[in-house]
Amino acid sequence: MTALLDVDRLGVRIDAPDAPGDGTLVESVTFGLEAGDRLGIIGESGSGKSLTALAILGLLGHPLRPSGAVRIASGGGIVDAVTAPLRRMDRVRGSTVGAVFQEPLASLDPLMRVGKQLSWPFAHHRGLRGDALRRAVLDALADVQLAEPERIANSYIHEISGGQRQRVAIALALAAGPRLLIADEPTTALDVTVQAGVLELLQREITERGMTMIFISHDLPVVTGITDRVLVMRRGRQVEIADTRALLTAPAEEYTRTLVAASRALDALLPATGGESA
Amino acid sequence: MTVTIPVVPENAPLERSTRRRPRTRRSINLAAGAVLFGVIALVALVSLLWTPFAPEDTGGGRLEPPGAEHWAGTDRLGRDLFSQLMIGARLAMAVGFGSVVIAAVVGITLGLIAAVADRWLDDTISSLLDIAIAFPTLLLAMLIVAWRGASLESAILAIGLAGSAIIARLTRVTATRVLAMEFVTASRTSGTGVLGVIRLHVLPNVWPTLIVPLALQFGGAVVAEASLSYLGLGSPPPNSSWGRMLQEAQSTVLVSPTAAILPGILLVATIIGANLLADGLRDVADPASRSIG
Repeated sequence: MTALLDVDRLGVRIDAPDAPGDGTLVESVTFGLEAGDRLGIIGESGSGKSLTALAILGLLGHPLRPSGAVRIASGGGIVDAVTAPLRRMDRVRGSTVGAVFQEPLASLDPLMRVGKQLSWPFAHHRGLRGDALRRAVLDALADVQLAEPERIANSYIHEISGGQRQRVAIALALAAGPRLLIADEPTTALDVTVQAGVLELLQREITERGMTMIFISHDLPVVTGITDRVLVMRRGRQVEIADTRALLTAPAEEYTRTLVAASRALDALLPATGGESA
Repeated sequence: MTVTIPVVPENAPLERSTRRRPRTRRSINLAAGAVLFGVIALVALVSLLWTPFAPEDTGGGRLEPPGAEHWAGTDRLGRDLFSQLMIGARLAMAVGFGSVVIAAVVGITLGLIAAVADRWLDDTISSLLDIAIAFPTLLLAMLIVAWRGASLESAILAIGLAGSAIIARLTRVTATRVLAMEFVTASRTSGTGVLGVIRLHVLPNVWPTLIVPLALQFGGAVVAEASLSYLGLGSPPPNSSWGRMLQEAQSTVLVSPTAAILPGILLVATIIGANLLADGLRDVADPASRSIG
């Protein structure tokens, strides 16, 4: 198997005169992904998880500057997201790397009907037109298990529920058939029952399409449930990277131990809230 | 530039639910604006095909009062005022639409460039816009007329360019806000390029903010043209602008007041009509506010 993604000493710094310290936000993040891998990135808010995701997508805007290398195998060649020109990355995004974000209400255009939004990647990447395009959009909506795809396609996003929106966002990310999906806290904004449905959907799509995934979250149980390797981040630095099982049973770093312990403590607490036993 | 008038007589009794009032009032605004504006636009269209007399026909008596032959009377050269008023409507519409289109095209383009561009270009454009906004519209228009000579086209260009600065500013601010939204990032992750983002997301999201100021500029443009013509910097005869009619009627206002009153009334009617229409358009432009309203 060949490496799909090779992140080599990735750094992100903020390029502003009034930035605190030397402006370093992310430092020397290094990992590789092969086709079919499922990597979890975990860390507290502000630990640099989302910046890492944006850097892989080549979407860091001014005043953020990436350094190091993010080598993506795309279309028979290797593209470095840190140095590649804009237009080159436009072709990589969607077709090779797709992404789902935390807040589905914010990640969909409020003034465009769902169907029209979803039709863009099909038209752009696969060149579909007319009836074929319409059918592809409805199929995509049905594929993410939305009942009444017709109605959803004709809705504005303020007319559908949060869970439905996130399913639409997933359909949008999958539309161009990317090989790597970056899911940046895709369930954080959803309530627990809806969350389970969306996670199950993500897992099914990844498995069926044989995709690679980076799953970003601050929720350890969610991450360990669907990934086979976990990267722990704190304050912009990579704390450790290990197989999920190993990380849970024998965390190497102090910070990871705290995380796992906290998670376990919470788990132990949960059944107790129902009865009196400690 | 904005003409604020207590608009429609409040038909509804005061006890009525205040919650529902804005919507009713807005739809009355839209209807009243459409009627006023529509009548004047219709007159302008008719003037292209037919006027009772040719505008340069000095065959009537001097300063005749309104009568059977000359419906609105004649001016001091014996020209038919009604025909001149009709042609004036045509000029007002041409100036209104022409300058709004120029303001929109130039303003939106500049604003989008500033929103997307690197810092230095953005700063340069923004400073230039600040200077342009600080200039009074009429002064800017006079400069352009001085450069190009007095003509209808000069007036349209001048008023349009003067208006474009504010539209550009507004576009830049709104577009910057839209570009920072997560759905733009999400769209970029599916491979949309910069131009695609502008066409698919920025323009549709900026448009509802721009449509009202643009419609308001229509009224402002009509006033500006009337002012230019009043000062003798507008379109030359036989294109009778309402502003020039006012100026010509000034010396004889005591003998034949209708010659001064009628263009004035038409000016006010056009501007009120355009502004009411602008107010009504606000609702139509934005599906989100429609569903809440």
